[in-house]
This record gives sequence, structure tokens and C-alpha cells, in this order.
Amino acid sequence: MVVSMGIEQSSSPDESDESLLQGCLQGQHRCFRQLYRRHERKVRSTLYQLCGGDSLDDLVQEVFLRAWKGLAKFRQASRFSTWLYRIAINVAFDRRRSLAVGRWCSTSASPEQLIAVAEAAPASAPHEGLMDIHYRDLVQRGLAQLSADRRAAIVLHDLEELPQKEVAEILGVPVGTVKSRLFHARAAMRQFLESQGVEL
Amino acid sequence: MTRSESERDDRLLVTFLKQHQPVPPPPAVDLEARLFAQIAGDRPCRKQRTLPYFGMALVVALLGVSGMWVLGRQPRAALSAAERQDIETALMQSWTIAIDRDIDATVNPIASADIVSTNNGSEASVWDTTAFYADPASPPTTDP
Repeated sequence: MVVSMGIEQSSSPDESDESLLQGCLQGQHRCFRQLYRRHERKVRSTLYQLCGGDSLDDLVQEVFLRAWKGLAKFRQASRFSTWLYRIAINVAFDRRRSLAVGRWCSTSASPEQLIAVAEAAPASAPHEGLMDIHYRDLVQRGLAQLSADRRAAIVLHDLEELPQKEVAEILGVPVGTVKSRLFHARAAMRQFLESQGVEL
Repeated sequence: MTRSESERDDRLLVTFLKQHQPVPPPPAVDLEARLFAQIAGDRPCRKQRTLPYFGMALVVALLGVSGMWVLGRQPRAALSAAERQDIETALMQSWTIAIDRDIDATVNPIASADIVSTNNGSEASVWDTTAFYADPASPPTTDP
């Protein structure tokens, strides 16, 4: 258990998000640290699927900074994780605007990155072969060709396993729109993978 | 493609995507420390004060009320005593003329009607259209 300020009490790992939020509003950093450690991995993964590896740490930091600053405005009508995902999506969209690219942030791995992953693979995942690395790159490239809206829908629903209702809440659209975006995103992904010789 | 086939295809695709989804690189070792260094000594932003919004709402409401008051006012022209006297005189004259005509019409309705003379010297009422048919070429003249 990490106690950041010395005078702050330690928090229980199973403390609910709501009670940690109350602690945050009283200025207790250890509560926010707990929330950070609880949700950082999901936020990081989502941002990576949406924006790739460039400046990923900065983006994650930006999400949690915005969350900290906006905690007082969080009305708890939705879950904290939903709210945090929403911030992450906004950060990703802002990132896209700042890059001013026609498509979404590029996530396609460079050859150097692929080599680095392949070299690191035996240590991190001994069962992982070159085909796995190849498929992973294909998924990255397939996601990169999607529009921002469709990509966000498929990442949140199919990869992060959030229910459609929550995805709709995060994206601020009706559930029907999420279903439509998922349909088109999957169709595009399937077509791309098949064009690359992948048989599903 | 049937619905079940479509669902099966979706399941296969989602399974493939999950199995091969890009894995983010691990965070920098000092990322957490950097984040908490930024918020150290800081508290979450308090809710924005409601006073400015309340003040703005009050100003808008006051503007609205005063606007309605201005629009609702009836135009009242300020008249001088002489103008009032002129108006009163004009009104009295028009009333007098109207009353005189009413009296004439009541006492002798035929006399009050316009009398026209035909070119043969007889007089006829404008309503007596047969008088004109005698000589349509001569225009009727009004008695002085």
C-alpha cells in the first residue's frame, strides 16, 4: 500500500470507486492513486487501440489529469469508469485533431517496432510465434483504416468488452447508432483481414 | 446470410480481434510519479461558483422585464392646449354637419336626395333612371 503524503490513511484495495471519489474530493491523493492503479490499464489499452504507441504515456497522463481536475463536476449519474472512458475518448479525439490527419491516429507498427516486439516475444510470451505478431499487426492496420467513430465503437465493445449501452453513454450516441457503427466496423475489418489472406 | 450465420461470423471475428489485439507497451517507470507530482498540493477543482450564473440570469430577467414594460406601454402623445382646442373644434364641426344631415333626411327624404334635371326641363331624382332614357346623348346636369 502506498501512502503518498504520510499523513493520509491507507486505502483498502476493495474500496469502491464511489468512496474513493469522496476521498479525492477531500483532497486525498492516495484515493486518486488507488483509482489510477485500478483503471490505468484499461485506459492505456483503449488509448493504444485508438491512437497507437506515440506519446501514449502523455495521453494516459492527460486523461488522469483531466479526471482529477474535473472530479468535482462528476455527478456520479454514471459509473466512474464510464466517465473515465469518456475522458479517454475525448483525449484521443483531441489528439486526432492536433495531428490533423484525415484518418485516425496511425497505429500501424513500423518494421523496427515489429522487430523489437519479435525480439521481446520469447521472454514475455514464449508461446507467441511470428504468426501471432503478424496477425497483431494486421489487426492494428485494420483498426487504423476505420473511421474514428467506428473504431471507437469496435474498440470499446469488442476489445474492451463494454456493453453497448455503456458504449453509447461514453460516445454520447443512441444504442442504435452504436449497433450500426459496430456492424460497419466489423464488416470493414472482416473485409480487410480477408484481403490479407486471413480465414476466419 | 441468415442471422445465426451472421452472429457466428461476428463471434469468430471478435474472437480473432481479442486474441490478436495490439498490446500497449508498458508505461514508463516514472509515469505514476510524474502524474502525482503534477497534482501534488492540488485539490480537484471545486464546482464553479453559481454566483456568476445567478447574476447573469438576473440581468437577463431584468432586461426581459424592462423590455416587456417598454413594449407594453401605450403611445401617449403630448398635446398642447391649442392643439386640443383645434381637435375639439373640428370634432364639434363634423358632429354638427352630421346631425344637420340627419335632421334633413328625417324631415324630407326626397328633398335631401340629389336632384338632377334633364334637358327637357323636368326634374328627376337620380334614382329615376327612366328620365335618362329619353335622350341618352345629353348628359344630365345638376341643379345649382
